Formats: sequence, C-alpha cells, structure tokens
Amino acid sequence: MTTKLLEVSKLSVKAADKQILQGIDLTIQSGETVAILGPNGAGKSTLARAIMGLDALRCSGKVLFEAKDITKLSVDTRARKGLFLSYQSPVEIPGLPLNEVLRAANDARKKKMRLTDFQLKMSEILEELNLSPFVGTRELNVGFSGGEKKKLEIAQMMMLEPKLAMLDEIDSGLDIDAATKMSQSLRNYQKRTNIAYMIITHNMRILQKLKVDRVYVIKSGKLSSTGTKKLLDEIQQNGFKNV
Amino acid sequence: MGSKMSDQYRGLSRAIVEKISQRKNDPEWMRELRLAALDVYNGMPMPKFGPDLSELDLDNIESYVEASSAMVDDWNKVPQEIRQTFEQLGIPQAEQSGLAGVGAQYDSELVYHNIQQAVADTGVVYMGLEAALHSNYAEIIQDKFMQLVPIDDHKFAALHAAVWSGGSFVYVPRGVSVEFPLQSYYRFNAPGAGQFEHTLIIVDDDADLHFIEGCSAPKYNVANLHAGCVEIYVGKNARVKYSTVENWSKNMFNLNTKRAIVAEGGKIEWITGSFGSHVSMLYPCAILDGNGASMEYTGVSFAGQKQILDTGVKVEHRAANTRSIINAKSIAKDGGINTFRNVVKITTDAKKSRSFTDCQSLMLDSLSKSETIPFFDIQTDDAEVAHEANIGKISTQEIEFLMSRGLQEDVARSLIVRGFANDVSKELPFEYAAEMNNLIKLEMSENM
Repeated sequence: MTTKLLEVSKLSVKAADKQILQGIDLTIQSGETVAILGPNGAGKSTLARAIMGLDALRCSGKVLFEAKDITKLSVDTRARKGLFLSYQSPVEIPGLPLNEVLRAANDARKKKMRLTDFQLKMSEILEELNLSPFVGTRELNVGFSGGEKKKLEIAQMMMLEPKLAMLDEIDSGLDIDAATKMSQSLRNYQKRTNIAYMIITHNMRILQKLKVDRVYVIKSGKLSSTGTKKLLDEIQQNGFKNV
Repeated sequence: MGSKMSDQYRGLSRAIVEKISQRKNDPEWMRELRLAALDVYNGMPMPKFGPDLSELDLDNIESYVEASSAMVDDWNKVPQEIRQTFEQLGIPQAEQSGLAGVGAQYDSELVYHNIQQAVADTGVVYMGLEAALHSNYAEIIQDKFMQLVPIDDHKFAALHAAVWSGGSFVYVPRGVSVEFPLQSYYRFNAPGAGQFEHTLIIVDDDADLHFIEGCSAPKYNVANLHAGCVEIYVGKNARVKYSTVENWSKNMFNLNTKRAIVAEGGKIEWITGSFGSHVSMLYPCAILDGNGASMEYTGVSFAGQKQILDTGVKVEHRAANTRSIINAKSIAKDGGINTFRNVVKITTDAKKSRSFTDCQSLMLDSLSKSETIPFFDIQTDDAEVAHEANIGKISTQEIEFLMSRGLQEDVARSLIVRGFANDVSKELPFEYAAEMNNLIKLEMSENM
C-alpha cells in the first residue's frame, strides 16, 4: 500500500548570504526507501534538517506531510506527527538517561505505556541492535562510541515508531558487519511497520539489504539527478562527476 | 491552627528568652547558655559579606510559636490539620516504606517523633532534642551542644542559641549500621515567624547513618526566618550521610548553620538540594580532625526570580591524608542570583591532604547571575588542591535534539536541567529524588 507521505516543493535554505539548498522537489510514499547522495557539503543534512523543521527561519518552500501543510509547524509538532531525524552527530546530554527522554517523548504523544511494557519493548529493540540492555539507564550518548551512538538513534526510532525516518549517515562509525546488520534490521523493521526511510549516505553498504525505491543526487544545493537503484552502481563506479 | 501566634514572642528580649527557657523547662546550664547567646547576639554586627539582609526585620520576627498540642509517637494523635499537612508531604507514608525513624516539627515544636523498635533495639537513639535534655543523654548533650558551632560563630548562630526550639537528637552506638535513613521534617507554617530547630547527631566509631532533613513552608507576604543549626560528630571510621532537600517559600530568609567534625578514617557526606527562599546563606562545614578523614559534598541550588542563593562549603583539613571532594551545581533563572563560596583550609598538620572542587553553573537567561568565589588557605607544601569552575548555558543543540523527539520546548529544557542536577538526585532515596525532580519541573514552569 502506498500513500503520499511527504511532499517537498521548492524547498530552499539560506545561511547568511549563502544559498545552501535551492528549489528541491521530492516525494516519499509510505513504506518507501529513498536514498539521498551527493558530495560533501552538497546540502544533504540541511535537507533533512529543513524537513524536520530545524532552522525554519532560513527556509522557504513548502512541506506537506500526509497531505497537510506542515511548513509552519515547530520541530516537536512535526516529530509528534511522525517525522524522525537521526543525527549525523547525536548530541550528548549529561545526566539525562535515554529512557527518560523516551518516556517524556511518549508522554508528549499522549501515549500511555506501562513501565513494564516500555521496558520489554526497549529490551527487544536493544537486543535486535546488539546493544547492552542497560544503555537505557545511561546518560544520553555520554561515553558511547560513534557506532553505538548511531545504534542508539535507531533504537529511539524503533521506540517512537515514526512514519518517516530521515537517517543521516547512520552507517558512519559502524564496521562492515555492523553496517550490514543495521541494514537488515532497518529492512525487517520496515516490513513490520511500513515506515518510510530517507537515507543520507556515502556508503552503499547500509542500502544493501534495503529495497531502494529512488535515488536522489544533490550537488551544490540542487537536485542534479533522480534515478533507480541503478544510479547507485553508476555512482559507485564513477563518483558524482556525471550524475 | 495547630500553633498559636501572639505578640508575646515578637522580637528578641531577655524576657522573651527567659520565657522560652522556662516554657521548655531548660536545665540551668541551658538557660545560661541562651542568655549568654543573647548578649553575644546583641553585640554582634550583621555578616559583612553576602546578600543584603536589611529586609529582615528581626524586631518583628516571632521567635517562638506556641504549640497547642504535645509531641506524640502516633500519627493518629497528631491534630488533624497538622497531620493532613504532613500527609500531603508524604511523611507518614515514607515512614512506612523505608525509614528507620521519623521526626516531624510544625513551626517551633515537634509534633511527632518515632523510631522503629528494631532500630531502637540496636541501641540507636532518635528523639526530640528537648526531651533528650531530660534523659540519660543529658550530659552528652551538655558536652556537645553549641560546641562545634560556638555561640559567637556568627550573629545568627547566637540568635539560634538564644531561642532554639525543637529539632532532633541522634546517637548511633559503636559499630551499628542503621540500615534505613532517619528523617526529620521541618514544616514552617506561621507567617512572620522564625524557626530555630537544633539537630545534634553523634555517630560513634565504625557506625553508619543516613540522616535526611526535609524542609518546606507555604508562602506568606511577610518575611520568615529559618536559622537552624546542625552539629554532627562522626567517630573513627564512621560514616554519616546527611541529605537535605529544602523547599522554602520565597519570602524566607534561610540562614542555617551545619557543621561536622570527623575523626580518623571517618567520612561525612553532604547531599544538598536548595530550592526556594528569598535569601539563603548556607555553607555546610566539615572539620577533618583525624588521619584519613574525608568529606564529600554534592549539592545543587536553584535561584529563580527575586531569589539570592548564597551557598557554599567550608572544609578544614586538620590531619594528615584527609580528603575533600566538592561537587556543586547551581541553576539560575529569571534574574535569580547564585553565589557559591568554597573555603578550603589545610593546616600544617594536614600532610598529604587532597581537596578537589568542581563548580558548575547553568544560566537559563541573561538576567540571572552566577558567581563562584573560592578561598584557599594552604599551609603545607605537599597538599594537592584543585579547583574547577565553569558557567554555561543550555545549548540549542540539546534543546533541538529533544524537540526532534517530540518533546515540547519547556519539557526539553526541564529535562536538561534535571540532567544537570542528576549528580544530586542519584544520591537521594527514590522519593526524594522524585521530589527534587518535581521541584525542578515546578521552578522551570514558573514564569516571570
């Protein structure tokens, strides 16, 4: 089943006098996986942040989510509607346990969950991601390796059950085996929930187990090409020169 | 009302002190001590540092509030209104679930004091200090009362000694570990009054105690004064953890004095959450008197609108191999002022002593102020002393991150501040940690 989940039109982002993104059009359906590729500094992370509602003052254009205009909505409102952003470098918050963040996030969604159910669900997710069962009680991202922080981002995604997850460089910091495993976990989760992914990556390995529906290439803030999974092979062979 | 206000105790005079002493049936030495303290008080200037205390009109403070009921050891015998207040604070419930004993004071007088039989059987004494003055412990009390904090320590110590009322006496015999905490709760209800409870704790060699002090008061428009005093004697290789969550109303002048003396190998731990009050001046002090004695301080203070929280720690290393660790956090919001003073003294006898201080301040807006004032007096050349202080703001990345998980901005801020104070809450028993988190939430949601 596919329904139009996200529709971005003419999205532009400016920082000071510099145009970082210009006139991006993009559509994602429920259950789809879309890959965003492009050279460093092309504006890929900016795109995800703009869709999430961060840096709103610098954005123009329109974002529709489930056919509703969310362009003026705050970050947290967008999150509660089902958008999720996994950060390239997740922030550390000393003294604040991950579980507390997740429980507050559930509260914000008026989602009543008994503590035991919460813990059960959390422990299943942590096991799936090969994380220690105790990470939920540890301070958010404090003292974790780069790879563990990325897994924690996915754990949060799985707990919060968004409709669209934008995963920014989710594979950086993961070794080859862990990246393959992560790819498989994302695919399994998608099959169960019909979640849509927008995956920003430099590394094709994270896409390996996923059914990639479309590939977008962004260069210098503009959409330079759109294609199918075949485009990935082209980029792997020849880089971004001709795409 | 469970207590009676009247003008007969307003202000401070020899007659009032005599009257309090007589009412309490003081032994003669105590009566003399009160009167001597009054003289010291009258001759002493106000503190020459810290916040402005000119709004505190001592001539109009009710120094004693008569109680209409006697102290009992059964909550059912506590007058209903007072009992309800303590029930709302969760005190009788907490007693059931995990405390070795509870004392509850309402204004000037204790209304309830009880210790679990099993704990009493180990020889632990926990009773009202006034009752203890007429018990087998009278001599010990005479020996220790206002000795650690002499009556001329500062003006409010003298005031305290002159009009003190209520408070608890604790004695833990040698080698006894009190498994659950003891807790005294001070509820301040009378407008325009002063509360001057005295806590005297003696923990013998190799013994172990966790004592919790809770304080709160409703808001009135007149200034109230809290000038309690805590004296703690920690024996050889003994350990005392003294936890406080203070939640004063914002008309309160909280000028409290706390001091511990620690013998060889002993340890005092101060865990402090300071909330509320208009002005607080509070500097727990430890005297490390024996080889290897140590002190650890973990505290958080929260200053909101029109609040000045002047807190700190004093530690005097008097013996070799003594250690002190000070971990202080402060939060300032809506123009609140936090000042943290730490005074570390290492005497010539305190060879190879170590002292570490870490002060972190969080400023939630540009109206608020935070200041750290360290003072070191180090008289040996082999001491190791370190001091670190930093003042920061909540980063936008942290707020953004939490908001992107669906949390409203105010909830995100409040969680970050709770995280900042986590060092303190994780040291507290569950109910207190929850209370502290709740206080942070309340302070964070209070708008200008």
